[in-house]
Amino acid sequence: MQAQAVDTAPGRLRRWLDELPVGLAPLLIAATGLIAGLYLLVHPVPGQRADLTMWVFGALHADAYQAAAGSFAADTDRTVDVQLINYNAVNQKLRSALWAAVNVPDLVEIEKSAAGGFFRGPLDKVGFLDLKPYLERDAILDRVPAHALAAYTDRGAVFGVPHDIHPVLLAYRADIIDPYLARRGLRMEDLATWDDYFRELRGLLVPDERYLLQIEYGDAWAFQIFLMQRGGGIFGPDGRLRMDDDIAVATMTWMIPLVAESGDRKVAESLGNWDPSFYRGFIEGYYIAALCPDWRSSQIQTFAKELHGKLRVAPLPAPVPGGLRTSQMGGTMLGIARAAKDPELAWRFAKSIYYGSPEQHGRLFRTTNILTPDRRAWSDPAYHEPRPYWSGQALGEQFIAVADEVPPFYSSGFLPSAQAKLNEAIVSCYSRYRSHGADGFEAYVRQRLTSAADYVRRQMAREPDWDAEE
Amino acid sequence: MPLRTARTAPYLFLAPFVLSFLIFGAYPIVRSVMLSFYITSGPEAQHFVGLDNYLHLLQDPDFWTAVRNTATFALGSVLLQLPLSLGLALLLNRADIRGRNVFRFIFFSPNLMGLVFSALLFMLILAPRFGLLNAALHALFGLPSTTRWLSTPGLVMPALIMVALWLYTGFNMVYFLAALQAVDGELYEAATIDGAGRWAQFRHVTLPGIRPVLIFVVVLSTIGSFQLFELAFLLLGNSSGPDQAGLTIVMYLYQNGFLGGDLGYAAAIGWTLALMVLLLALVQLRITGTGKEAR
Repeated sequence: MQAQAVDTAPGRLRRWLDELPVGLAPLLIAATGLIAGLYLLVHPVPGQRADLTMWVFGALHADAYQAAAGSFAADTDRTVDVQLINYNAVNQKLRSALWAAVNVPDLVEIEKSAAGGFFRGPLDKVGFLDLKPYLERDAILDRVPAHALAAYTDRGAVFGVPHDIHPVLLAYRADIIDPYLARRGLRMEDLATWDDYFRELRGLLVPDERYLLQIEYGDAWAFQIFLMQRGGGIFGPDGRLRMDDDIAVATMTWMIPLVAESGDRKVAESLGNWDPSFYRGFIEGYYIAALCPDWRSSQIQTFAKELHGKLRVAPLPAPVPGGLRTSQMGGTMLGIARAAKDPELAWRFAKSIYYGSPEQHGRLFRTTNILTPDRRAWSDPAYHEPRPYWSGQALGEQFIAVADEVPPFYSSGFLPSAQAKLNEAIVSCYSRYRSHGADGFEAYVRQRLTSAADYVRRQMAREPDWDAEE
Repeated sequence: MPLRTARTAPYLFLAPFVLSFLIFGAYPIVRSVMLSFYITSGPEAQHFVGLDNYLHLLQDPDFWTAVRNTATFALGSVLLQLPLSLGLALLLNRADIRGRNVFRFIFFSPNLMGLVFSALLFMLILAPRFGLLNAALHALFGLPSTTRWLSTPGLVMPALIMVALWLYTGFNMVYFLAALQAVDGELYEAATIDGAGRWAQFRHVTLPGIRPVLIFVVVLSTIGSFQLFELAFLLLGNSSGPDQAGLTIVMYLYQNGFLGGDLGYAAAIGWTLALMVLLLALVQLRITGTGKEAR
């Protein structure tokens, strides 16, 4: 009997397999899936066990926070998982996470221009906690320049704390400019206005070979710096759009001829803001100065090593005598999600990395050149030590000197749209000046900025009054 | 045993796909249609506007800029890429070309590099003053070396078309090569005996022989061009270039949804794009007479 069973079993299996209506392959696939599923059941992927999760888009930030997370764990016995995520991916992942209410990080860093998009909607449904009570309770508001919070304040709520304040200085080729000025009994610091700057350095201009300043005219990057230096902005307080006001018109009317003139009347040029050409142009002296927020000084150090000892920074020349000698560009906020598991713990960690010891900030400044908004940290030696790359200047002192004057930047959910329209207006004004010159230029600028702003206003007009609906 | 029955087994095997499609395919599609009737800022902030997103879209000059740019790209890509791909395929299909496999690999190799790498490579090639292209144009024709390919509105689209040409010509060439090899060789012999020259053979033998693949490539290239996003995004960034010169429909969708935060308006853009692509494909199929044979 037993021998008979052994003989017939394979035959029975073969018959059964032959009778499968769609063949063996689907069965094998199903079996593989079953085995894989069972394996995963027995060996589950370890879940997220950290007490807090934080998303960061800057590698240097991530390194610093991972180190801080170690100290935090030692002090509090609570763990923080700091995840480095690509800049664009942070925004997309965060938006998806907030929509789906799944995998929302407890803390997240967001770049300033993207932040406003997350503040739309009813105030109590914004994905971030209002941190104003925390800042007041821990007396941090006094330590931070007021302007630094403007970008993250919406309808009175502070949805993010500033990582930085990003004052703008002028980075210039000291090896070319300083000797030239010295021969004329001048120093860079003496060039108090942009008029002074272009007039006194005119002798260094060589059309098609050397320009006095790098100004990008394919986007609004430089324009925004000049705009804010003059007291203007794309948005004002309370989300008011002001990209077509008199200051914007004056800024455009002043800036465009610098790049759109011909021959030796053209004093500024650009080979791009971010690609290798920018650095190459600076290294080869195609332009001898560039607008330089603190973070850009670090990028220049990294990507233009050949300029070691050849660069210095100076306050920006002012638009008018006695005017502002700095501006601001860029920025990052730290927000705590409304869905955070333990907001108090998240705040403690946020405080430890943003408003921790001066030494901690000093370490970050040495690697990133980014100035913290926490005034208490500015006494750390890192901000006062000479930097060989910057011709021995104490770089931190240069940025600190103008930190309190940095103009406020107001964010909005419509900022990307406004920036896009501003870009268009700049390119259009550049083309118009190239073709028609100064004739009727101011009127054109006004009309162009107004039509750009009207477009954004139409978009804004569609926005429901979320809070009223509530 | 139900598995043995021809009636139930197919449904059982199909069930996992159908279920996952319903959850991950059909539901998002339905949800996105619904979303397109709202102005949104998160799941708890949705304001019903009916068809207003669509009506606003039709009056939105930026949307039409995006449509114009996308159509220019599609037209440029299809008109340049396909003849070039076909020409290369015809050339490399000839038995008397030495090293033709090497050439086939070279022309196809951009597809092996990945889009991100290709974009980075072209950012260097197109760089003003120090880029390879400008250097070559300067050396060969004395053109200025400071041409800002990615920062001058009128040059952005030609630059994108040029990069796409480099990226996808080899890919389409492979389709054409496969089609050419399927054409019956006896037809050429017969045509030769009948005294047909090269051009006549191409018109009356090759083109009819590869017609299904030709239509397939034209339709797919057009659809792909209308979905242009990654290349423009990598080369131009979030800003979509100077004067919105590189703003494509999908880029505009991304800007509204993921930068501006209004997924409702973005959904309306997405559905309008889907409709446009569908219409375009139908028109192409109608023009080429595809499907008539079946009837």
